[in-house]
Amino acid sequence: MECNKVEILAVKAVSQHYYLLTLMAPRLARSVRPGQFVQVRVADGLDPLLRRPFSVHDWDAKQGTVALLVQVRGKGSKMLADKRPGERLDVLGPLGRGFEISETKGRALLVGGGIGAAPLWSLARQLKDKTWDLTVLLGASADSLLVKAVDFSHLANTIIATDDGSAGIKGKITKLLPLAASDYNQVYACGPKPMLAALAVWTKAAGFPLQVSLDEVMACGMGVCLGCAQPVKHNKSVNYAKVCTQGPVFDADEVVWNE
Amino acid sequence: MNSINLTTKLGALTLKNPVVTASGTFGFGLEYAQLFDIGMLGGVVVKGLTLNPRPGNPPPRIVETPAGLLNAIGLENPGLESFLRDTLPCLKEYNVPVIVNISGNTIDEYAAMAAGLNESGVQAVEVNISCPNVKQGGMVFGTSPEQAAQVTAAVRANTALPLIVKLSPNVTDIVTIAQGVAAAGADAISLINTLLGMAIDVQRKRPALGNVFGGLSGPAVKPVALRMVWQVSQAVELPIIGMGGIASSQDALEFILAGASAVSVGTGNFINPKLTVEIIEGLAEYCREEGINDISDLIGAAWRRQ
Ligand SMILES: Cc1cc2nc3c(=O)[nH]c(=O)nc-3n(C[C@H](O)[C@H](O)[C@H](O)COP(=O)(O)OP(=O)(O)OC[C@H]3O[C@@H](n4cnc5c(N)ncnc54)[C@H](O)[C@@H]3O)c2cc1C
Ligand SMILES: Cc1cc2nc3c(=O)[nH]c(=O)nc-3n(C[C@H](O)[C@H](O)[C@H](O)COP(=O)(O)O)c2cc1C
Ligand code: FES
Repeated sequence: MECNKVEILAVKAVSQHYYLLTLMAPRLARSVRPGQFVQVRVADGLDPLLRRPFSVHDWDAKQGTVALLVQVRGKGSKMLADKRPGERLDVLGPLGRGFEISETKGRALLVGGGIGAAPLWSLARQLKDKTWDLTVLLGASADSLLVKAVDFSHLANTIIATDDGSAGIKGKITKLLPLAASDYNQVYACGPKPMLAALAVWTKAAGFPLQVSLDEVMACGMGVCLGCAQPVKHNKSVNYAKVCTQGPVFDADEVVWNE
Repeated sequence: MNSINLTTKLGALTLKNPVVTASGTFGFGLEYAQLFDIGMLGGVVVKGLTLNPRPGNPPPRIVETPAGLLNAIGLENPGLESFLRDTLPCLKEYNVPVIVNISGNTIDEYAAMAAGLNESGVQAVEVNISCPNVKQGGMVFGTSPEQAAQVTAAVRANTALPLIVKLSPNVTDIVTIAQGVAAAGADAISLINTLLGMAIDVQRKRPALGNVFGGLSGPAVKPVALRMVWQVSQAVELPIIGMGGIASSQDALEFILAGASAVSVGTGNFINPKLTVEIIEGLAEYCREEGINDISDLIGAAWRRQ
């Protein structure tokens, strides 16, 4: 883990709401794993005060580059989207526990809701390198909020759903699950909590192991402030886990969904 | 050129420089050791401990406000025994003074914790009578002059360690409370804990924090903290650890000039994880530029100059 100012190489609008930031960060690119994240300081001033967490979307260890896929939501993400190449960005990372990939290859289902698909891209690449057989489900409220659908389709059978029907099948991503029915050795997912909760019910019934990447507001990102608490089952009692260091990736079985 | 003397005293405790970490913002010290040598710090004040483990409050626990942070962690901690057994031995390897922040539901619990720390090899106790995020104890003790003095006296009776009492800013007269804990045997005073506040989520039309109220920290609270350090340092003979919104060495200097013998960095750690060491360097640099050999010459200089 390190905290450094790195150079922004490119800022590219990839859709109406999404921006791809490419950074020159060789050490980060060498050490990061799929599902890990960084804490980015979006401005030097005091408002916004806190760093913002972003998954590492993609990286190239040889070139030393790292890419973040940023959805503009509020003032911090807007400031990031407005950055220019050549500016420097204060980045802390890599942070958290990413996705676990079994060494024995198998068949995986990746489910991404909206910007939740961002961390699944590097995961898909690594699984593909290990010759896993992949199916990807991508969902969003509308076409403009779908993430990199084209690239995923290079790697895997990709099925799309949008709430308004502007791309793929009309409806919630969970509607696609029967279409993707198969025997999976592992299911991976990231997206809104209700989507993950519905998926947890489906995978449990089908007997597939599910890893989910959770989203919680963070201050430190390093396990010291205890701000990012998520209730998890521990033996027979319920504890709070730190999403930043014990996650963001959890086994769905551990997570208490009905908060 | 002579090297600058940055050492400072908190009663019997001498720190090699006046920069420590604020409880709850540096974990148990080990996390930041991945980024820099925490042995460079004047001291590490660990996350607030209670006698028994506490699960803390339901999420969401933090909300950002302009230049500030509202938190409602609710003193989540593994309990004193687990800290002494599992964490303290690792922390001791770093050769940094360890100050243990303690909280209790009752005066007896404070006393028992102080007694439990006596043989542990920690350097000081910081008594938290100012947490705004717990139902029992916490801030209740810090807002009543009698109870603040009673807690202090009970801890004093059970420990020979340097005793620091951390006060709440959520009072009308901070000086009376400070005088009470001084008379009850405190060796130093920490100022300030967080200010009680709240935020509303307009989308969900309800309080943004799971616990409704939270404690405000960060640069937004600095003027309040500075005013309290100024008032208390003139009214009470004890050394003060000043904190509240410190985000640069300039901020730290303001607290020292207002009367603080040491400063504590809290929310600033989240924004810049290496802030504490940058402040130590900044203080030395300032002294060099101003031709000051001993940083203690700056303590309270602003009120002596009025
Ligand atoms: C581990 C992790 C990885 C993440 N990865 C990515 C990523 O790859 N790409 C991406 O675009 N976003 C990602 N996020 C979400 C991102 O951190 C938030 O969108 C961002 O912090 C919002 O900042 P802002 O200043 O733009 O919004 P603010 O002005 O702070 O808030 C605007 C809106 O966004 C909501 N919001 C704020 N913080 C979060 C949060 N942590 N999660 C969800 N909603 C939030 C607020 O409730 C509010 O409605 C990730 C979050 C986590 C915890
Ligand atoms: C997330 C968080 C947790 C805290 N936990 C404690 C605690 O356990 N005990 C305590 O005495 N103060 C606690 N505090 C208060 C800080 O130690 C400090 O007094 C306060 O935040 C003001 O300083 P700052 O503005 O530099 O953060 C906490 C503050 C924050 C932000
Ligand atoms: S964000 Fe601070 S503990 Fe997780």
